[in-house]
Amino acid sequence: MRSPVRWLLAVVAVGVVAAVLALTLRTTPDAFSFNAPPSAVAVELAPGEEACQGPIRVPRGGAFSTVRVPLSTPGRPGPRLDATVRVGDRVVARGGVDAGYLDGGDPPITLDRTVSAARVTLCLRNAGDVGMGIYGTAGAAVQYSRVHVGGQEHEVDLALRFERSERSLASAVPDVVRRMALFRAVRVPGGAYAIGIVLLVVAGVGALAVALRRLED
Amino acid sequence: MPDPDTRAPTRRRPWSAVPAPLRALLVAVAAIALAWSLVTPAFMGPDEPAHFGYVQTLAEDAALPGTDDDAEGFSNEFRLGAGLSGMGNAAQQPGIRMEWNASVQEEWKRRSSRPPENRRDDGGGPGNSAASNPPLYYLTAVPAYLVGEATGIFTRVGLVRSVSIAWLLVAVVGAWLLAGELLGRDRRAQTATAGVVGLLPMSQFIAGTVSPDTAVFAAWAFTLWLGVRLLRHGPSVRGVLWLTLALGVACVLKAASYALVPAVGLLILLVLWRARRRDADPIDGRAVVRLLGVAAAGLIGTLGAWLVVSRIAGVSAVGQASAVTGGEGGSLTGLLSYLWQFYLPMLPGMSPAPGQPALPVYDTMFTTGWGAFAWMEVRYPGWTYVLLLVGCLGVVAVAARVAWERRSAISWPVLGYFALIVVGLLAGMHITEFNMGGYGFIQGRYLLPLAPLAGLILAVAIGRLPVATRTPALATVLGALVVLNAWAMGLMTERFYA
Repeated sequence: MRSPVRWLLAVVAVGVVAAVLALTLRTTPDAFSFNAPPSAVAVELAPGEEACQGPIRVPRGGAFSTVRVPLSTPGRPGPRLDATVRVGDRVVARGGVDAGYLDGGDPPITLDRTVSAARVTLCLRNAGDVGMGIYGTAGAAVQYSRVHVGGQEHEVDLALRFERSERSLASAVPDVVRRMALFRAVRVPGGAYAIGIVLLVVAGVGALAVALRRLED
Repeated sequence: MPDPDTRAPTRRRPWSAVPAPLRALLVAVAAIALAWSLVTPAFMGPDEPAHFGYVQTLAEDAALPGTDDDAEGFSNEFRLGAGLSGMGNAAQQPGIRMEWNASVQEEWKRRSSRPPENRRDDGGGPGNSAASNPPLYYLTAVPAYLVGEATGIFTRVGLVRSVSIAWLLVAVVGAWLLAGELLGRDRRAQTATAGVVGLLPMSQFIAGTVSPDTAVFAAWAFTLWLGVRLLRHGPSVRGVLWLTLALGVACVLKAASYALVPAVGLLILLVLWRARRRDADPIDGRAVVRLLGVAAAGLIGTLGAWLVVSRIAGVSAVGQASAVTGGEGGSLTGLLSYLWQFYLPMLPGMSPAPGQPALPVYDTMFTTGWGAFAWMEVRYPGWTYVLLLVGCLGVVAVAARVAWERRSAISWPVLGYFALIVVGLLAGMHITEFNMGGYGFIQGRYLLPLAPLAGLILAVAIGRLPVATRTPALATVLGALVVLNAWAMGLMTERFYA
C-alpha cells in the first residue's frame, strides 16, 4: 500500500475502531455531578443531628440510586448514617450506611428506590452514638444550594456524588452530548454541537489527505 | 473575444501564492484546533481564567491587570459564569464535573443580564496570576473580545480562543519557512516540520484555549527561521531588523522568551564578524555600526516600548523571568544535584529532590509535553507515553545517524544557534524551578516553542527512508497525531461530561 492517503485513512480507521471499543467497554456509574469538591470537613454531626443539602437540581437523565460522600471519623469506626431524599417535605427515598466505615472513606449510600425528581433535598442523619463529620467545601461552592444543620444555614456544600447502575459510555452518549453543549460559545442543541465537533475533525483529516496528495503530485 | 496577449494580467490572490500542501495543512490545523476549542469547557485550559481576565481588563478598563488595588481580581461577570458553570470547582479536581443541568444555564442567562452580576469592568485587581505577563498576546485578543461585546461571557471566550488558533497557524507557517530554509524547499520535509508544530496534541489543546502560548510558538518559530536565514545569507538591514523584531515580539509575548536573547545576540555578532572577515566584499566598520543600530531599533521598537509602558504602569517588565535570579535559591551543589536527579536516577549519597517524581525528565517533562490536558489532570494511559517515547527515540536515532553520515555538510553555526536556544530555555526553566524550591514549576508544554526543531528531526529521519515510503511514513505520523488529538478530546469529554 503505497498511497499516503490510504496510510492516513488506515491510521485514522484504527483510531475510530479503538474509540468504538472504548465506548463499548468502558463504563461509568455517574448519574450527575454536584460540583462540590471534598476540600475540608464541611459539617460535624453530633449523635442525632441531621445535615440537609438542598435544593439539588437533578439534570435530565440524572436519575440516581446511590449517593457517595467522604465521611470523617477520626480515630474510630464511623457511626451509622441514615439518608433520606426529599421533595419538599415528602420523603421519596431512604438509605443509609452501616456503622464501621473508615475515616475518609465514601461508602455507598444505597437508596431503596431510584430518584428522578428534578429538585430534591438530601438529608444525612448521624444515627449512632458518637460524632462524625461530612466532607465538602470550606465555603459555599454551589450557588443555588445550601446546607442546613438543625435549622441553621451553613455556608458550605457537601461533596456529594450521585450514582446509578454502571452503564457503558456508549449508552451515556445521548446524555453526554446534551451536557457538553451547556455554557458554550455557541448555543445549539447537544446533538448539533457534537456533530459539529466530529465534522471539524473529519475536515481536518480531509485537509491532511489533500496535503499528502499534493505532495505526490 | 480579446486577444490573449492583450488581456490584463490576472492578479494572483495571496492565498493562491501559498504552496498547496501548506494551504491544506493550515486548514487541517485550524479545523482540529477549532474542534478542540469546542470540546474544552470554558476556563478549563491552564490558567485560562487569568488569561481571559487579562483580556477583559484590557478591553473593559483599558488598563493592565494587577494595577488597581481596589478592584477584585476577576469581574462579577466571570465569577457568576465560573460559579454556575461548575468551572470554579472543577479545575484540577478530577472528581468534579461541569454543571450538567440546563436549568442552571437558564439561571446564568437570567442573572448575567442584570447588574451587578453582569459587571465586566470591576476585575483587574490583585490576584490575576497572568498579570506578570507582557501584554502583546492579550492586545491581539482584544478585538475578538470586542466583537462579542454584545454577547455572553462564554461566546467571548470562544471568540478569544480563535485568536490562539490564528497564532498557531502563524507558528505553522514559521516552521514551514524554517524547514524550507534548511532543507531546500522540500515540500515533504516542510509538511513534516510544520505538521508536528501544528498537530502536536498539546499545541492543539492550548490553541483551543485563551493562552499566550501559541503566540509564543509563532514568535519562536519565526526567530528560528530568521536566525537561520541571517546565518545563511549574511547580514542585511532587513534580515537583522526582522530577526530582532521577532525576538522583541517573543519577549513582549512571554518573559520565557528572554531565553532567546543570548542565542540571537551571539548569532548577530557572529554574522557581522564573518562578514567583516570574508574575502569577497567585506563590510566596513560603519556598516557594522549601522547593522547594530538596526538590531537595537528592532528591540527598542518592541521590547523597549514594553519596558517604557511597564515602567509607567508600575508593573514588572520581566514578570516570571525574575524568578531566574530571585527566589529561595540554594547552593551550587544543590543545583547540580537537582539537575542530576531531573535527568538521571539518583546516586547514593544524594539527598532526594523534594516533591519530584522518580525521573522528572520523563514523568514531568515528557509526559506532560505530550499530553496533560485541562488543568493537567486529563492524561493518556501510562502505556501511551511509553510507546511515544519509543517512537521518539527511534526518530532521534535515525536523524542522528543521518547527521553523522552527512557531518561534513552540517552547518555548525546553525547547529550552535539551535543548541543555544535549547540550552537557554532549559536553563531558564531549571533555574526558575530550583529557585522556587526545586519542584512544581516545569511542565512539558513549556518546551513546545522548540517544536519546530522536533519537526526538523522528524523531517530528517523521514528523509532517510526509501523514496517510495517517505510520504506514507509522513502520512502515518500525521494520522497518528490526529488520532492522539481525537483521543484526548474523548478523554476530556469523558472527564467533564460522562
